Amino acid sequence: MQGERLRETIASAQAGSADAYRALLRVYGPRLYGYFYRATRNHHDAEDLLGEISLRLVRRLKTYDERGRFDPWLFRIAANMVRDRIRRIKTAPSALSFSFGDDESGASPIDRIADDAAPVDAAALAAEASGALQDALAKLDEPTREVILLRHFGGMSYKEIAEVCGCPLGTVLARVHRGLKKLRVIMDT
Amino acid sequence: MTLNDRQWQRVARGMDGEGVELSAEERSVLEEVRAAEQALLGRLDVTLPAGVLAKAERRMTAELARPRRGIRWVYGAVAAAAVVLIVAGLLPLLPPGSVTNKDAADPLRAASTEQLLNSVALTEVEAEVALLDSQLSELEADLWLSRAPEPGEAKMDSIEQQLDDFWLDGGASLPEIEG
Repeated sequence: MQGERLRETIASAQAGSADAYRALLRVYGPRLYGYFYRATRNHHDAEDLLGEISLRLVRRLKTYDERGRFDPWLFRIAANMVRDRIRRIKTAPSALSFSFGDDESGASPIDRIADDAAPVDAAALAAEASGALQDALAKLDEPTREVILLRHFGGMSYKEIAEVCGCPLGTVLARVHRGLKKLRVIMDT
Repeated sequence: MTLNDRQWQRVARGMDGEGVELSAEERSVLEEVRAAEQALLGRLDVTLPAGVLAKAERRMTAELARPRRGIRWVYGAVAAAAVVLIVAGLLPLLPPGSVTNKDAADPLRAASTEQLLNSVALTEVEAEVALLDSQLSELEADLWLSRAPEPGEAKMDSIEQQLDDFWLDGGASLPEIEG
């Protein structure tokens, strides 16, 4: 959803249309979920955060100024939620999500036991590769991971990322450059 | 390849599509970042597990229904606050001790009871004072009447009597005043 159609949908949602809100969630839900999952490395947290951001979207959309771009506005909220979640996990380890070490599919361990018996296929190989990427991402420091994910999922410009992160524009690109290089090295080895 | 802050900033602006003149070194970094981003494209994406979006939609629908309930609560809260403000505004206008609480343990009730007792006590004292005052007056009158009149007082009474007669009866001569 882009341009005029997106503007109309946002305006309808701001006017209180439930259908418009649902349309926004359907369009942005998968990207938001991807961002949350890559940032928290946990399907349960990602699911919870997606539910939470859908509530925040309802509460805050009225404050959105149509002159700005919607994607950065939405992903700024998402980034703050992730930071808050990570901070809470660090300060209160008991708040850690109940996780068996998620795989890419979000399947439970029992489901995965059953899956282990299945023959290896393309999807499993893809999941494995994605899992390797997840491990590589986990090895990046938090600010670097954040800018790479915001750039990819949020489709944000470097200037917008600099605003969200509250750091100089040059620093953002230096981080991304270093992070992408590191990712490639980790994944190639 | 080491860029300074200013150069990183220029490359970032170039990545954002601004028309910035870049040096060969800066351009090289820009190409490198762009290629790395392209390589990552699609690999970071995650498949949304079944039911997750539907669950989020249900939460969203519930939240959309909430404001109407919220508004009712707001109206209720505003009405309650208004009642409290009106009562608080009227309280100073009521006479002291006129507000009592039926709860005996309540300090307000205790205070008002004390005030009532005080007012009764004051009335009794006042009555006693009035009684004493009247008794003193009677005693003073008894003492005055019981004593023998002095000679000058009788003469003065006689003169007053003659003056009254003169003015009332039109007597010809006034009594003689000695001395």
